Amino acid sequence: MLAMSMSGWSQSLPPAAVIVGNNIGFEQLTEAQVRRCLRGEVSRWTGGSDLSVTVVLPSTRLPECEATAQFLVSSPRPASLQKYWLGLVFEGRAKAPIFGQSQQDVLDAVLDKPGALGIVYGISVPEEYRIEVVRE
Amino acid sequence: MFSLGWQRSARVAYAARVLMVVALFGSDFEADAQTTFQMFGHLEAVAEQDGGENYSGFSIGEHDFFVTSQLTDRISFLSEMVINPQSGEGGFKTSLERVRLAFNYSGNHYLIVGKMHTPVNYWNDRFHHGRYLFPTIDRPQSFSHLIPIHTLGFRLQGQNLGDLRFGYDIVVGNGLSSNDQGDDSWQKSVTTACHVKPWEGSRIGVSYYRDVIFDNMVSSHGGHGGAHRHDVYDGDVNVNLLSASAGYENARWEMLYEYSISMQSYPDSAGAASSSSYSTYLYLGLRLKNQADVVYGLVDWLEIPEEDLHLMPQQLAKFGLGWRHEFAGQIHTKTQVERYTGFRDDLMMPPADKWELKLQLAYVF
Repeated sequence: MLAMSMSGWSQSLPPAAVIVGNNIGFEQLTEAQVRRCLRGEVSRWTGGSDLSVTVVLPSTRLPECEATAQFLVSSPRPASLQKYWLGLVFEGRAKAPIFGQSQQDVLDAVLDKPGALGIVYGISVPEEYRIEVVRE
Repeated sequence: MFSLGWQRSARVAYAARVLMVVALFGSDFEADAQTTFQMFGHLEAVAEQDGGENYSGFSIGEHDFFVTSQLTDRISFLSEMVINPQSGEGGFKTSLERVRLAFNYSGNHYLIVGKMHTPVNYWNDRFHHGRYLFPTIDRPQSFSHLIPIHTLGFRLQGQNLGDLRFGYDIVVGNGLSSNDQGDDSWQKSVTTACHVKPWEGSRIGVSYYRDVIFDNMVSSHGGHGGAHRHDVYDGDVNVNLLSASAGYENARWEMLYEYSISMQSYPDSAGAASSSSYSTYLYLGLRLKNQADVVYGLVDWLEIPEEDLHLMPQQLAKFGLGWRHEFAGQIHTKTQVERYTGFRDDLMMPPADKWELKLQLAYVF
């Protein structure tokens, strides 16, 4: 497991969501760990590959972004998720995430970037990139 | 194709890469560098009654070109260049408000060098020139008087450590008398700050800042405006600033509280007493059920005593009520009614007596 403490404020991962990772050094993460990573709270895969964490999310123009926003910032508004990340990057406390314009874009971005972690919906994911999520 | 940053088109991302290549004159450009560009800006209109006089006007606000780039797996770059309209004869002024390189040496720990915001309070660490991110139209008044806004130096930073999401910042940099070209002194400003985030959307922090202002003269790292008293005292000023902040936001409520006390002494004076000035700021917002509108109120209070030989003695109180509408895109409107007043007439600056109605369009793209 990740070396750092990984408790997350509770929010359930959307049932249809699949977590994909590229060379992160972990095959399994808890729901809370996924949330902390996708909220920009983790800089490196400490205890795993030690690569920097790159977050990949669906564009706010995609309908699945509502479920993602609910999971990550407890709001159904995609604009809230975007504002959250904009604030974090402006503060200089996180690397800017990549927003995919389609589910395939999200998957391609993860596959293209070692250390990337993304969330996709309704798309076939190569088994070696699929991260098993322990739901709480 | 996917886009970088805030869903920029692939064409813009490609153009940015080409520009970077050109800028590097063909040096080894990492093809997958993750580079983002944003422009924050705002426009305003104001109607004002100051004493017996009425004023109104439209203005262009700060426009802030914000760039980040991931140079290597561990090193990132961030800069903020602001174009600001000038008063008087007009025109615009350009300034580099932040230029910093961050080295992620381990886990959530960083070494940062360059020009940065001093992390003395929540507002200065989070918002500064990004009006789109401001909960209200203006910064707290303390930014024009007490808060050391910038530092040019190095910073040790840690964040989101443990279940409490503990964070720390230790900054050593040029002081308030220096400018961006350098600092002709061994004396450096020191900032230490820490915070925790016990609940989602919360952040509670404290900080301590110390510096010596030479000859009672501040330079570019001081407040953005505000009056100083160089005419009555031209010796050094020892500054010790303590600040505390608490911020909280959930789906319904937003709250921000800031408190700062600046304790100053005057070693070159003929026995002048030390002085303590303080500011306090409270913002409360309620998000309406449509999720796009927030109604809010604010209280902003500043008190600088008569014995202060650095800042202009005054007591200023500002009360405001406002409404923020957040469009689905990256644009907000804010409408705010403000009352400026004072409850002490025994200080050098007479009490304010002003009403303002302000409208702001704040955007980022």
